[in-house]
Amino acid sequence: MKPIGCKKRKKRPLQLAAVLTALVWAVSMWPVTVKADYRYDSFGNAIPSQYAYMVETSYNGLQLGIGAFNAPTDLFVAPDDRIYMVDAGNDRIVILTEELEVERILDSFTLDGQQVSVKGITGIFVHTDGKLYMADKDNGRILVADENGSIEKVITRPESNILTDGSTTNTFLPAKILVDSRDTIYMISENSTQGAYMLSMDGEFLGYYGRNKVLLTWERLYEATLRRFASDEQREIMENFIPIAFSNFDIDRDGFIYTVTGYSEHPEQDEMIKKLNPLGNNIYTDGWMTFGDMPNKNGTFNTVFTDVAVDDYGFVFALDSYSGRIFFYDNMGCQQAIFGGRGNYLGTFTSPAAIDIVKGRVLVLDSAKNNITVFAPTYFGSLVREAFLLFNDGFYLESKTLFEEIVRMDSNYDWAYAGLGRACYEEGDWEMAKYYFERSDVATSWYSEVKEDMRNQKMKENFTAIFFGFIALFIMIAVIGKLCSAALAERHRHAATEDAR
Amino acid sequence: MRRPDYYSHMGKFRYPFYILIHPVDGFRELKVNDKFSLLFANIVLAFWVLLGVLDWGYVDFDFKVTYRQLKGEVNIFQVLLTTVAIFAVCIVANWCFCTLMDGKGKAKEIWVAGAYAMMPYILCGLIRVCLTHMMVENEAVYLTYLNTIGLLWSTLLMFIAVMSIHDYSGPKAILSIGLTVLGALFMAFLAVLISGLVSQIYSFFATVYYEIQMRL
Repeated sequence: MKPIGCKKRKKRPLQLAAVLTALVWAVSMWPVTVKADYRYDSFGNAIPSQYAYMVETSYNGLQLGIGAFNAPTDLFVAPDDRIYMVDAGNDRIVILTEELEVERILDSFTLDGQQVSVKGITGIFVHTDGKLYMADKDNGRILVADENGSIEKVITRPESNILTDGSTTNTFLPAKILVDSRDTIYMISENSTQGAYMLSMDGEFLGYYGRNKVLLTWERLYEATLRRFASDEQREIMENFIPIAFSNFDIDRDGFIYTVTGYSEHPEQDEMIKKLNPLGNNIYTDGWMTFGDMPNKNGTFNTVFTDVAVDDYGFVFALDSYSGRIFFYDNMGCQQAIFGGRGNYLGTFTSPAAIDIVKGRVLVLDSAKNNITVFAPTYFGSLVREAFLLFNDGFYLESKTLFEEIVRMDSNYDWAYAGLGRACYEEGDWEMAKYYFERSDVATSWYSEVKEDMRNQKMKENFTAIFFGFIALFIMIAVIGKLCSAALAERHRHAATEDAR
Repeated sequence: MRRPDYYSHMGKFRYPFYILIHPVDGFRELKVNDKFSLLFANIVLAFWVLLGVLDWGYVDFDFKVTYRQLKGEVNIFQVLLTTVAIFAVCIVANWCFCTLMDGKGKAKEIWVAGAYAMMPYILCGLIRVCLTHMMVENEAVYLTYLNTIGLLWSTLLMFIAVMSIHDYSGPKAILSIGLTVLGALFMAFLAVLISGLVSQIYSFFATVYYEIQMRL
């Protein structure tokens, strides 16, 4: 392309050198490496932030010396920090140590002396006693095997009055599985919108667990009204109001189950990530909680969570298969970082399938790139973790220096300012606390608390002055009122006599 | 027979406060005996602009709710647009419609009466902005009450002002207020249309100018 306004000149070596230098400079400044992680501020604007987690390495099967992986489906870190990976395409389960070295490969599973394929396994869980719980979606059953691969138990569709025949939502398609400390099996069945199946060890159906809510919106109200007047044939093709099934779950150290939802139209209300107590009630209910990406400019919400992982401290990592990003929340459900992405280079994914945590490092399994990517917290990330652990446990003063360091590295960190403010409040430095709360934009109610305390203190200190001041004011108003009304009456009388005359 | 003038002793700056509590008598007197002050009306409007500025940028942090309040950059033109400009448009619309509907009011009287009627809202608003620095989030409901009281009081005054200035019955006053709102909306629509047109014409001439500049 010919640039406009460029005149022909004689070529000179010096100029050529200058041009070459400029070119080299331009290439070196090319923004390939300029990529920032981001967070959302209190207005929902994406703002660049420091890297909280950075990619360390990635491993594929060849690097591990066990032959290429083929469409792996799930990854699980057992309580003893061994990593179990379902290499479904190769019909095997790979067991790695916490340092990602191959420990064992389970490639023959036997049931009553017969070979059993694990190609249909989509979810794996390893219990504290070392037993493998596998969700075999293709065959519609749950397999329980010991660590050597001999299958001890097969759980198929249980008999129950609740699970009626003929309904498509009740087909038994185990996709993901976990077992809690009381040996209750929780199983997500594909198509089931009623929540996870709760099964006993003997395969008895105990009930559904923690289904999502159906929110009443104007569109749904309109649809419901239409449905009332529709014929049966019309009703057949109309949309059903069924809850959105959650796509995956994880259990934390204390027995709380975290679920993620794959797709929902109303992300803020529909509880994309839920923390469920043993009763199945969501305890992530604070209004400011938003999970996943904000809707884009057209208002469409794109986040599709496929997996969630909770570490020993309660930090939550949710994996979005649409954008390939990992959303990092602290133990109160507050968004702290977003990292990862979609792409073909190190640290990005094309088809992320599973996420788990081993010794503070985040492992992400990509079922199309057939590898495991390892993320490790940066200095900033470990600061954030440490600071919010202290802060959320109420150690405000102890977390102050950490928050100061966070703010020094990332001056947009609104929750860090809230933490600083809280520390100043505890120290009794109310002016600074007010300043930090205002700076943080997220701590309005704490700001009000400080203000109330300051007001009360001022009232206490100046009580006599205020009290007598009020009395003086009342007396003054009364006297002036009396004088004015007397003057007015005089003028009225004067005006009336004038008028009569 | 001329009504006895009990109000002649009242100064022009005190009379508007009398209107606040005796709107029916007050506005009638304003119309019949020309008891109004354009200066005072304009001062009231200036206070309205002041309220707009204070409400945008000087409310205490825990009472800031809107995005623009939290961002905190006061744009005086936007304040003027949302206060005095809207007021002026409404007055013009009201004058236009009421002239056609046998209204007795002159433009000046409508302007002054309208400004007087806005006084409770502005007063309550100013008090509210001051109080945000003393009250806390839990007590926000009292400030909402204050604002609502001011708004209702102003609405009532506005209604009585239209009735008295134009010598209308109640239903006709309501009709004329409704038409005024429609007229103001129509004028706003026209303003948007014209500004769009002007900017397009401007950009056209600017393009032509740059083109010629480039070719030369």
